[in-house]
Amino acid sequence: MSLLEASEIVSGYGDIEILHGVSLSVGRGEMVAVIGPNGCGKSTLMKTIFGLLTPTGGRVTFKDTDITGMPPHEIVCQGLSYVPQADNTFLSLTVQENLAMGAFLRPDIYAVQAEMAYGLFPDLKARRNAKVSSLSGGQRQMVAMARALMLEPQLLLLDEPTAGLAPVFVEAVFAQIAHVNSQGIAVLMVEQNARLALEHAQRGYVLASGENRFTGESSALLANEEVARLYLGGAA
Amino acid sequence: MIALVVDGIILGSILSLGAVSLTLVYGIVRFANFAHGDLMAVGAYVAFFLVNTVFATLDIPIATFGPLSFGLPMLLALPLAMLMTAVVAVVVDRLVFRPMRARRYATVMFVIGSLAVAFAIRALVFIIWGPEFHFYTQALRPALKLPFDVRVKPDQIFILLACLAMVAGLYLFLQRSKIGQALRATADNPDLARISGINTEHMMIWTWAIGAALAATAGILLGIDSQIRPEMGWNLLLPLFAAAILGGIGNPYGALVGGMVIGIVQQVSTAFLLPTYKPAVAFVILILVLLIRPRGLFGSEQRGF
Ligand SMILES: Nc1ncnc2c1ncn2[C@@H]1O[C@H](COP(=O)(O)OP(=O)(O)O)[C@@H](O)[C@H]1O
Ligand SMILES: [Mg+2]
Repeated sequence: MSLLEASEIVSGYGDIEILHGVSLSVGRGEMVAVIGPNGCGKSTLMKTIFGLLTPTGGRVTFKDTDITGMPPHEIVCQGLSYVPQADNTFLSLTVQENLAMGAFLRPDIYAVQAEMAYGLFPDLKARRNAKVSSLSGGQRQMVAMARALMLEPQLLLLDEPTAGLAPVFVEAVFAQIAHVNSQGIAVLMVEQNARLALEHAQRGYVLASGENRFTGESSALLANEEVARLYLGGAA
Repeated sequence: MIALVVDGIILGSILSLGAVSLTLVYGIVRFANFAHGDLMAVGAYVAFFLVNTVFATLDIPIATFGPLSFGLPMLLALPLAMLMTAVVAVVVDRLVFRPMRARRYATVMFVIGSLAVAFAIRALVFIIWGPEFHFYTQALRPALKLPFDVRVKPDQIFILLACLAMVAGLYLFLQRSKIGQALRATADNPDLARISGINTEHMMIWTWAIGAALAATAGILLGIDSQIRPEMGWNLLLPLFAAAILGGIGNPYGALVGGMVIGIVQQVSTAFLLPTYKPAVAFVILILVLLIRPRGLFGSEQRGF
């Protein structure tokens, strides 16, 4: 049985329809990648799953609970967390305050979870009282991920976690994501580094123009000539 | 001159409190609330009503505190007036602004809405209390004579300390309390706040309640310093906005400084200009800031405080 099930999602901004019936699912503990060209609606899909956008069609269920149209502050109670592509930290707050906001609903587990987060991202511990606006891009991305992990989610939604990072950091971020996943947290990840994402994920979805284009095991997608040519920038 | 500066500091402390609360509300609701001055008037009138009508019928000792012009009734009226003004602001938000938020109206519609609220509040004050001036007390208190020809009424020292205490209290609340942090998070990045589990509609309620309570305090202190009139708050709107924008709109700590600067410059200007030009002075500062440094002294590109 799948953890997250999005079926036939129709969504967009105002009158502009971006997603024309997209479906995907994530199983317990699974790592799933969503790839596709810029502007095809990957971020829109994430926002819709997390209630920042209300779909005009389709259904989102999480652990068999219908979360379609639920406001984000209630969705996060269900056990899924979300790191948006842009503006994913509170820049004017300190690192520690960002983590506290991540645990806003569960102050009781804040201390334990903060220690866990500092264990996962040791760089942050030294800078815990620094404003996030003073951190580097890579450190901000760590803050964003740490904030999202504060409520012990069962599923983590990551929208382009490596965007704008230098290649050395990209590998490090993938390693951290793999580590999070190894603790049993399912990951649904949108990535521009499509090949790398598929190499880490078990399954992948290729979106194009707001529709499902290809779906399958990562190995199959990586081996697919057409996927490789169109979306992975080269031969399989 | 020094006397004018001292006067300016007293006026400035009231402007600071008004501007801090104005800009706090702005930082979260993201529109310029033109009803803010009239919330100050609501606070002043509710306190007037409590002190001179309600408490007068009760057995509350009316002796004044030492050299101050007021006593226990005013001290009791202050928190009650803060509470009532907060309720007014929250009710207005529920009735007027929340439906607009739900329909995602453009910012300009909220501003016009707040203008309508401002007119409505002032009209109600007029209807209930009439157009004439009121005073909390008729008692005259001698001013303290300080060196350099400076005269300060004991009330004014109280006003200054009360304003500073309020702003310090707000600072501690925003920095230390969980709700305060959540308010800052919401001002910084509302969508991320929602994703983190913060119900931003609750934050709206907190914002209006705190903003209005501080505005009410500013109104009462202004009433203690001078008199109570229906347009007392409306007339302060220009210096309040000038102070908030000078400090960097949305930044409460900047508004504190902005309020002081506007207060002092306004008072000192009376050495050269007729006092009726005081609002014009605030206006000139406002225009200069917008021309030279629209972000204000402490504003940044980034949201949040
Ligand atoms: N806030 C918005 N308002 C209107 N259109 C938007 C908004 N955000 C994104 N879009 C449009 O929606 C489409 C999909 O965007 P997005 O989901 O961000 O793509 P991706 O994440 O796959 O690059 C794009 O054409 C983009 O221009
Ligand atoms: Mg995107």
